[in-house]
Amino acid sequence: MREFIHMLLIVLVLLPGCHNKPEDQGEDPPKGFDQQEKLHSHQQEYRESPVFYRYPSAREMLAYVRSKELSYKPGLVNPLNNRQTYHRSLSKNLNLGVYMTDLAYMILFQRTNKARDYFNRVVSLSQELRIVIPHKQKLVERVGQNLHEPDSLLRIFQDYQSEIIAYLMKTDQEDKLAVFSAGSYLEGLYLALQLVGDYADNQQTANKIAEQKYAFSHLEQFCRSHARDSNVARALTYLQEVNALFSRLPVEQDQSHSERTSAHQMVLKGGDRVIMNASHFYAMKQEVEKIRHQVVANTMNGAHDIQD
Amino acid sequence: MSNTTLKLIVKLFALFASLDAPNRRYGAGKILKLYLKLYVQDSYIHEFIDIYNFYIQQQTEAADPYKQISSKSVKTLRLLDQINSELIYQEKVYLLFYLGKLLREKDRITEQEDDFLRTVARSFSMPESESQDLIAFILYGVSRTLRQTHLLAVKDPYSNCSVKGIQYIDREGLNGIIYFLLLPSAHLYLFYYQGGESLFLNARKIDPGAVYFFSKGDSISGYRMGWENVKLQPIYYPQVAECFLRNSQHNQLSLVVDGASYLYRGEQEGIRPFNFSTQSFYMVGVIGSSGVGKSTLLNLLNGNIRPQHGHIWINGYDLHRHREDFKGLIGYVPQEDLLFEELTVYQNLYYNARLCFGDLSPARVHAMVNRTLDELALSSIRHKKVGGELDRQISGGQRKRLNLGLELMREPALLLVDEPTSGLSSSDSRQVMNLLRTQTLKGRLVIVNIHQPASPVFRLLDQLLVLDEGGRVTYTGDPLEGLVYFKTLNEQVNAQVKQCPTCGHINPEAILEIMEEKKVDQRGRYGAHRRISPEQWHQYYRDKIEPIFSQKPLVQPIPESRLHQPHRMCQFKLFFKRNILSKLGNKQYLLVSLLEAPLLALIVAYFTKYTAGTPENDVAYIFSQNPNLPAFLLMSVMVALFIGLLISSEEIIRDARVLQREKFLQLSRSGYLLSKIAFLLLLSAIQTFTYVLIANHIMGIEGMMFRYWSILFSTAVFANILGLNLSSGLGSQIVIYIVIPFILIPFMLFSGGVVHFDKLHAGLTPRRYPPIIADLMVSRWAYEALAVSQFRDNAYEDPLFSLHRRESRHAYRLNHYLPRLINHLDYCRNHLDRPEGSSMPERIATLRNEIHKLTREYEPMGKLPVEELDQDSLKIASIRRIRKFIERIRKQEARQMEQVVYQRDSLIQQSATAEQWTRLKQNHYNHALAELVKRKNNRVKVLETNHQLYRKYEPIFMYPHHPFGRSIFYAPTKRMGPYGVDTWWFNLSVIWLFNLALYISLYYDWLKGAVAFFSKLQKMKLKS
Repeated sequence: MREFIHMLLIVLVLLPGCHNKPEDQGEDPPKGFDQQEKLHSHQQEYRESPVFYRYPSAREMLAYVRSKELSYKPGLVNPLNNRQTYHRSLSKNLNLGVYMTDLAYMILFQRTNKARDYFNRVVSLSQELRIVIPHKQKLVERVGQNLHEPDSLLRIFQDYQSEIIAYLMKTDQEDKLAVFSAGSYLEGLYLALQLVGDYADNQQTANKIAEQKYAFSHLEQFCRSHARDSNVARALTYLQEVNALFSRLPVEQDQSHSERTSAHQMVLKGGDRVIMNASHFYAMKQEVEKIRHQVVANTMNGAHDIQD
Repeated sequence: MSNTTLKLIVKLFALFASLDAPNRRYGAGKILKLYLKLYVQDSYIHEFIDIYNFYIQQQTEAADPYKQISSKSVKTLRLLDQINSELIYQEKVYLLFYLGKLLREKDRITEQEDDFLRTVARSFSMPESESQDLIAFILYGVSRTLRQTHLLAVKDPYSNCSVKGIQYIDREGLNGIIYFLLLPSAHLYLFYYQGGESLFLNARKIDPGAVYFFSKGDSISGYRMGWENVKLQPIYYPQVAECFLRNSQHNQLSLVVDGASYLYRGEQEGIRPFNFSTQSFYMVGVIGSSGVGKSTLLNLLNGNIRPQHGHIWINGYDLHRHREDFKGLIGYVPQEDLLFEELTVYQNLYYNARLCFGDLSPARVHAMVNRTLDELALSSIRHKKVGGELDRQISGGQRKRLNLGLELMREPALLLVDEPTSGLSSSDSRQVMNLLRTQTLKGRLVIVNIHQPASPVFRLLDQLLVLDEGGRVTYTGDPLEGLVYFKTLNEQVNAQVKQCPTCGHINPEAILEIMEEKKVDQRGRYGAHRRISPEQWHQYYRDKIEPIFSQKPLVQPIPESRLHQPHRMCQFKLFFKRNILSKLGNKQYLLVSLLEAPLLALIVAYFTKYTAGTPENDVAYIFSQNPNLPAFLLMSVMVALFIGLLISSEEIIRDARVLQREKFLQLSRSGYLLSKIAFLLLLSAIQTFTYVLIANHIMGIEGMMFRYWSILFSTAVFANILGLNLSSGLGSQIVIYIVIPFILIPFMLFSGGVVHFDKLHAGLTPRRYPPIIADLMVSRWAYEALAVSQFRDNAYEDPLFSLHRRESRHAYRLNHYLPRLINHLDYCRNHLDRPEGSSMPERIATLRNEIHKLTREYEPMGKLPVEELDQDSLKIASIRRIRKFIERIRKQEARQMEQVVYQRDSLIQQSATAEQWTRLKQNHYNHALAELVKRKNNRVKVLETNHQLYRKYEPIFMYPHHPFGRSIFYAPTKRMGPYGVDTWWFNLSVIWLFNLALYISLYYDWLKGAVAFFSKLQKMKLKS
């Protein structure tokens, strides 16, 4: 599993340069996105690209959503004040992931002023969890210096996230990584579902979200391997609930075939395709919202957590 | 005397005279004239004689003799009533005397006349035996005088005159005998001379057989029998008085100055060597121009200054060697009023008496005070506050009398008074001097500095001591003879005339004028130099007057002192009560003292209360989000220091003069100081309580009242005692106020709250611990105690603290300590082949020390060959082994940390709901403070020095190692030997240790000593 994660990390880092040019490239880059040259490259990967099985990145999901010119919706992110209700390590860990995703969301949608507050919150939570980032102070300073440079902020965000993951890996705290990832992805899923809003208008995006089923499944497997840890076990229950939602989605099978593009690139197409219809969409949206609320409002199992 | 009163007296004379036949009334007119001369100028006497004649005429023309007698009795009584209410007792005695003299003019005395005289004596409240003695003395001499103990004779020792049963004074060469009668109730003496020589009462010739009053300042002189040009040794008033009073007194004192001198260091000012002697019953006046050393002389005689040469003997005992024996016998009244201005007249006397007479009950002291008030004529103002310079409640004369009264109450055998009449009117001066005079009659020796004495005051003196420039004595002896002495040496005309022959006025100023007379130059102007220099005057004195003491004076029993100090505890209570009353009497002081703390609390708390707001309410205050809490804590400590200094820094300096007086009572210094401290403690307790009550309420600090108050109160006590040290050691209030900022600023700087110790000058701080200079600052201990206590003992953190502490320890090991060791190992491995120029030796040394510690701590993991950690013998295999060892530790630490986190999560889950924890955290836990005590912004988590690694990570969770209390700043506990002590207790103890040290310094007045030492040093430097 470790090697798998290492591979996925490499994928994450290389992702900006690794994309399939969609056959249909009718969509222009988002208007008003003048400073987003690099972002554009992140976003292109999601245009009509096939699903591939890998460790999910909430940021990537959001980047795709962003590429669809969906509007920023205020009030979706986890309020900073909720931080005061996180006393146990489970809630802190889960919501570290949540806040990281929120941070990515704000950077992507260029809400940079709020991004600083969220960055500070992420830093303080990670400190409480005893996650040591070697150049934390420099990162914090860089945030202050690049408040109006979304691409730089995104880079910093990536660096910070990488540092967190690297630290947890290095110090054999994969259980924390699992919980963190669960929180991060759950928030990403929630934000994406909320941003889509109306199924009819954004069916394509909704289907893209559905394709995260397999990624979620992998995440669940990862968590299961660390389920001895009580926090991971708890996070696993959320993932299982989400996976249960995904499992209701029908899967279409396309025949696998290859195609040569105009740029003489071989593109593999085909495989399974997960379909999300409107009722599935709204049901998932509602359920994910409930699950997410439990996490951010720290009302897991009502007012009391289950006995570990 | 008023015109009306005199007319009444004239009427009385007329009534008395009219008892006899008209042809026998001539003598009455003559005596009346003599009496009137006492009060009226010659040119106005005839008016009163006319009135007298008128009344005589009236009496003579009365028809019925029987009616005359009875009506005269009635008239007499009515007249006596009127006169009684106008005359003081002495004047009544004078009147009785002259009425008696009137009878002496007759050859026979009728029963009516005798009865009349006795009626007058009775109505004047004169004791019957005394009035009988008076009348008998005037009419019959000593033969019929009843009480021989009140008689004194002066005669030639070789004469045949018999004075059996009567005490006497020898006067060689006296022809005849002089008899004296004492009238005790009036302290008056009468005398008459039996003999054939011409004797003079002052300048007036004495008629043999005639009775005269012998008053203060009088002397009887004449020529020796058979020697026309040889003067008789004068008989002075004090000699007569002493003879009478000596018998009734047991406590008699003689003072002999034998060559004593004192010169101030490096100066020519002081007192030059002189000889002098005096004794009880005498009042010695010291006169001289300003700055000649009069006060220095008094301080020499009262033992405040030790003579550099010579001796001062009291009853044959050296004053300084037997100081303890003279306890309570010497009284000193300096020029300044030594009164408690906030106390009433009664209270000033009462507390003074309680401190002097510990053997008397409060009721008896109360009676004594009442008596003293009567004697001082202060009864009517007993309940009046004395008042300060700007709000005087009693007059200058009353202040002086009260000042004197404080000393007189304990009846010292030797009383030294410095300029008691300065600034007073002539009548007040007379009153004060009469008071002193009364003391000599009680057998005391009074030495008084007088500046510009008036004639009546001069008359009261028994001995005179004149001082000239440079502290040179130029005369000692009879005051009137002194005038003659100076005039004679100055070759003045009428040098022998001591007083005005008409009115008896004396000019004491003449002495100083003569002494200081300047030379006249050729242009007729006074020059700069004196006619006779001070050295010359002093030489004259040494040649002509100064007594020579060939041997040590005879040892006599030291008079008993009435002083009986109360027990120390009692003194403490008295000082304390007096202090409280004094403060309660000053409403302004009370108001300011009680209000300043709450006001400061309002200011500090209000302005540091940052309202972060919530989404629902912009102005909501959340304690956890107030970033100013650390600043508030520091300000609170500074406030405690400031108000503590403010209320104490004037305490002793304000009492300085009173203390000077009470020095002679040799009261307990510790009792006095502890009473001051007790009062200040009480006030500081109230102040800090009100401060904490208000400030904590505004800031939303809950449940920490006692902790805050105890730290701030202890800090304020420190400031109290420090202020007392300043007050005692520095000479001036202004200097104290200048010094205060120089004290407060270092306290603030080295408190650890303004600048962290790690950020101070590199040369100052050892980096492991706070610098020594900070450890000497009470603010450092107080601030640390508050910060640690607030963080750790609040309702949120308290149940979790031990778990957080363990977690922090594991996190430190995992994230900082072990990685540092790995880092060193990696470095060594990389430089194994080329160690030259690298830092391998230092790193290996560090590794050796730390691995050694780890092997002891993690013994079950097995022993590690630490000896392999040597630059020369280090191998890859060793490095690998050590690395594995460290890895095992790391895993163990990680496991333990996981367990701690689990325990903490369980505790949180089981003890309260998330909402409850949230509320607890919001109301009790402050993020800014947490950041401070965890040193979150400090990049240095591990300090490497002296080949050892020291933790700097999250000091609030550290376990200290130093066995004697030293630890990193914000450590929650300190070690004392094997015991761990909570930082709050430890710091509180340190503060109280400081308080104890300061008290010892106060008791021994070390600051004063240091100031004196440095002043001396400076003077020596300037001299060289």
